[in-house]
Amino acid sequence: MYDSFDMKTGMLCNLQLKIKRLLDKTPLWLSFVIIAGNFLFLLTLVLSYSNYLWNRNRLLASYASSMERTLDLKTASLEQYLDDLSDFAVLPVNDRDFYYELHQTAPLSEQALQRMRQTVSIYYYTRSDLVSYQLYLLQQDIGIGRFASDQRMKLFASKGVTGSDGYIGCIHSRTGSCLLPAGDGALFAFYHTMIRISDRHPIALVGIEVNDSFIKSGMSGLSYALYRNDGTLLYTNAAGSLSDFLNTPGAAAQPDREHIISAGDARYIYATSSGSKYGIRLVSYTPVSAVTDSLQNIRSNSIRQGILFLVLSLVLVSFILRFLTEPLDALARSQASFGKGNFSKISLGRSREVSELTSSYNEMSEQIQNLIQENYVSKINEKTAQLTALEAQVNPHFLYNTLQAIGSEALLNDENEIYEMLLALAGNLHYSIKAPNINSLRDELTFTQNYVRLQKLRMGEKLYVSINIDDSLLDVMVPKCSLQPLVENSISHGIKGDRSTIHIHVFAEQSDNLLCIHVKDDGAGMDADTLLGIRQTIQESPVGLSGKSIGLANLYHRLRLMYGSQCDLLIDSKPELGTEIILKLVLPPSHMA
Amino acid sequence: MHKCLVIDDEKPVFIAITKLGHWSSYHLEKPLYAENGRDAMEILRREKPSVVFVDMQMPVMNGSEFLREASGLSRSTSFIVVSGYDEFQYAQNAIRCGAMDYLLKPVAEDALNEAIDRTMHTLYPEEDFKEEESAGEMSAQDVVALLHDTIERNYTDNIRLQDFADEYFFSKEYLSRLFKNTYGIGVSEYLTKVRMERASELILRQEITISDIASRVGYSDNAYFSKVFRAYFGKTPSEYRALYLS
Repeated sequence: MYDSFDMKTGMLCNLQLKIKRLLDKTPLWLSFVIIAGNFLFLLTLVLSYSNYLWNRNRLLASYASSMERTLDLKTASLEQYLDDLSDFAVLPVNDRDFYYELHQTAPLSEQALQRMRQTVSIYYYTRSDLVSYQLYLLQQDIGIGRFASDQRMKLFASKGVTGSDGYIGCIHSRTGSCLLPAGDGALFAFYHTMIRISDRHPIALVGIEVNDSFIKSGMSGLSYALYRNDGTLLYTNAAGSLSDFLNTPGAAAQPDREHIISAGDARYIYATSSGSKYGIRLVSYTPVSAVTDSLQNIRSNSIRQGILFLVLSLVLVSFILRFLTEPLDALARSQASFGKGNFSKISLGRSREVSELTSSYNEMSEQIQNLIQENYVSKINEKTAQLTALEAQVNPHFLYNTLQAIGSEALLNDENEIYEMLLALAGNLHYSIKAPNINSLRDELTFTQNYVRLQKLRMGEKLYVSINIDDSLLDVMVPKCSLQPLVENSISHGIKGDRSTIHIHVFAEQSDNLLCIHVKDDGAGMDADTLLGIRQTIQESPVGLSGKSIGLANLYHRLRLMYGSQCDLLIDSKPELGTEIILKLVLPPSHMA
Repeated sequence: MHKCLVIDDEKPVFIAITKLGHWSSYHLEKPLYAENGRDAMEILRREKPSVVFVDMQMPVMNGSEFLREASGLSRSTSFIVVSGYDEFQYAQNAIRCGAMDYLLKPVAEDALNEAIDRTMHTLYPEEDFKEEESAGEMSAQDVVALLHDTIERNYTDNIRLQDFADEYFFSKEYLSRLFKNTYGIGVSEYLTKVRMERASELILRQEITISDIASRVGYSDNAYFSKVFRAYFGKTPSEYRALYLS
């Protein structure tokens, strides 16, 4: 269990590391574009969408409310229509004869009935919106009516009217009327009682079915339904699935908050208006799609705009960021060249942070220059002063004349060896002081051999040097003092501790255009750490170095100046076994063997 | 044989050139010496040397001045410049002034002889020069033997070690040391010995006066001779005579 935990944390750390490394490499503007871009993109989508939704809802709500205003008007006019129907329903009562016959409890004569029939018929034809008409004479059990299927006003027997829905509805209503659903094409069945004035007892019931012409006017293009307050559907012009929905009982459910109602597979905006007098409710159903189709365009547009805006602003910001952070690149480059010794001041800006960085960089550069000035340059001045003082004492004229004088004295005493030593010394002095810093290997070799001869004078048998360099290589050009210091190094570092003797082998190998000059000794050698330290020091710029290894670093530097990358200075060493330094040079084509 | 000349206000260069040059191989006499440019011009006119070694740093007459003047004088003389500066510009200057070659101080044997070789071959292309190692040079040992010989034969003369030293370019001390090591006796001691021996022979001939003996064995001062005689034999010449003639 612990393993898996460690593995997880390990993987997590690994992941963190990977992310960190990736971030370190990514430019600022790119990070911004990716991170902010993603975030803003999502935000834009969310905002666009919620904006869309809000607009949609507002649109739906405003549609619903304006619809409702329309419906209110329609409901009001419907109630007026119903008032009108009420008036029409009791119209026959205005005929005196009719009125009288109506009140008769005894069975009416055929004549009377026919007369009544005619009267009703006349009144019937004053209206054009009637589908059917029935007048039930409650005291006679006879009805006068005209049904939809039949064109004529007829008399018919009617019993049990008082038990019918219409009659009961009228009895219980304040207005003495009630509405019932009617057949196809009819708006509703309107029932109205005629009452005896004296006791208000109903003596007749009028039932009228009207067509939907009234309701249709001003409602074209809409789907709507007319309900009774108790939820009974009286009429609807809806078709298809909406019609099926409305016709199922309990379909007058309330819509949700956004005035939306789901009916079958479609969604509709629900607007309603009620009339209190007759207890009617008019509901309109508008397909949401009809209203929101235009919204689709708005939605796509708004998303497109949002994204366009996002992209433009990202582009703009990334340019600005690049512009602002470009100085940092310049700063990084300055710092890189700083390390190479270029201390020039910089002038970068474009933002406060960068300006501050620039000024502190310049301060630092100045301080470092000052330090170098104090430290390094003053050292050079010191050395130059020493050298000048030395030269004043030991000018070449004085030096060589003195050496000649000593030498001649030696010659007078048959001390030819001493004269040779003086020649070696003078030769090396000539070589060191003379101008060209680049000489042939021949000259450098002579210089080295002179040096060795002088050292042998001091060390005798303790120093053994063999030199094995083919004559054909002697014309290769090398920096002055490139070989001799290596031999000097071998002597000064090789003799340590118990060792007092050293054997040095100087030899050269050539393969194609690569020349390797080896200086190999069997001296004290050095341990791996020291070797590594020296190898590193060699690579460093000799500026500011001091103490050990400055010679090697200096030599490497001068080699590079002469041969560019076509050279190398290698050093290998094993403790107690010895050290080998190899000077590698890529010869110019004229030297190919 | 040809002649050559060394011009240098200091002796060491002259000594080194004289000792290191293979003169006989190049048909050259040992170099003449001039201390300054003025003397040099004299010798130049008189001796007409083939090769002239000139030190560039000279107080009285500057090397370049001398060169310009001298090289105009004679076509068959080569000038070799000796200088402490290993700088191209100096060599260039020297060559412009008429020098044929350039030697660095201290003078190296091979460089010197190469320069002589080049010069002589250029001046006398038909002559045959054999490069021999110091064939006719007298070694210090030879000089000491000569000295010994000279003392034995010419004890009358004022033999001075310094003359031999100067003549053969060895230091006085060295010759003295070598003489002592070779013959077991110092130079002046030996001279004294030879003189005293001779004096002791002569003193037995009564007809020769003491002062005569003194001059015959090389002492100009009678009193000094007596003193030396006394120190050597333990008796004054007169006492000695008196002793051995009785």
